[in-house]
Amino acid sequence: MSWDPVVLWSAILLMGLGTFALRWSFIGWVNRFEEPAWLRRLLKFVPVSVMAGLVVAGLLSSGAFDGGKPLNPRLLAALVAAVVAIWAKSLLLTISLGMVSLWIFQYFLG
Amino acid sequence: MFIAASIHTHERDAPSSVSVFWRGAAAAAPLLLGIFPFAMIAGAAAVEAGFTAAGAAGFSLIVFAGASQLAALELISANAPVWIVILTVWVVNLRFVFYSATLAPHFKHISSGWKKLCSYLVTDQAFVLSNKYYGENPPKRLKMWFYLGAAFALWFTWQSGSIFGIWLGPRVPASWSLDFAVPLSFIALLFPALKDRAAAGAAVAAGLSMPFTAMLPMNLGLLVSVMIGVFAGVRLDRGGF
Repeated sequence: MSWDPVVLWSAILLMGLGTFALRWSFIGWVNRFEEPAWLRRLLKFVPVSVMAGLVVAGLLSSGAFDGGKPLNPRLLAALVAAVVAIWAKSLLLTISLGMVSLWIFQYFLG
Repeated sequence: MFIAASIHTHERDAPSSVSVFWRGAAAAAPLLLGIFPFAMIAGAAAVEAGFTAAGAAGFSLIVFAGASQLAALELISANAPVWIVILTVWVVNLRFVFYSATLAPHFKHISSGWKKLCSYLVTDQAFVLSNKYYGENPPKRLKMWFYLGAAFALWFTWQSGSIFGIWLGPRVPASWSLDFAVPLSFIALLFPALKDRAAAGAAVAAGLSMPFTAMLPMNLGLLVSVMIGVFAGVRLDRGGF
């Protein structure tokens, strides 16, 4: 990261203050406004869209789609993790089984 | 029957603020084991992205929102402009408005200082746990205490996990491929959230658009993909706008 410490800390403060403002929005000005139904419907899909985007971004940058090998260990491990996530719904299990399967695939597939 | 009635009255008076606080913490306990490694990943990833130890710890303390922290770090590693990183964090955390709106009625009666504290501590898990408790219609004066118990347990786990990850991260050999834990965390968070067709559609739309939106300048890719996902989700949600 090429950011100067002043830039970094200002950015952290802005990220934090903006996030706090979102958290405080209704709690702080209680019941002065009801959030409109259309806004609620939109906001409903932001988390899954963000998560999905980050999954793809993360896989891309960690080499899961690199063409070199026909069976890419990272892609396979991601598939295992997806199955575990759907089945167990546990953050801990998904991450740990995903990492273990990555190591296993890397060992056998290089 | 007189004795039974008086025992019943005693039970109704019994819960103290402190006991409800601990009840909140206990409700959060099963989640802490999963959150600690996620916090470690956030801490280690920050150092990996070039934050100093203090910066990484400050990040977890000041922003205190895991998904947005990791999203920011993803963008920073890709040399995104600082204002895009800030904007992305705000967008990722937009869902907190919804939580704030849903929690607000339960905090109506508390003082402004406590409201700010409760606001700072808003997280997905604290929200879900408290909502469940409020469904039992507890006495008004206890509502904040349950929330604080759950929220503090989560906060403490997040901060300590981050610090541990900051310390441990650089000490782990690269050959262990622990950077893969970041996309794994997102996979872990994504799939359980796909509860219906609209959510799945949003995820598919956003995810599939990423390799394309990645070509946009200034790392706007994620924000545009989120908009695409939201559009798809709303269209699929009971037939559209």
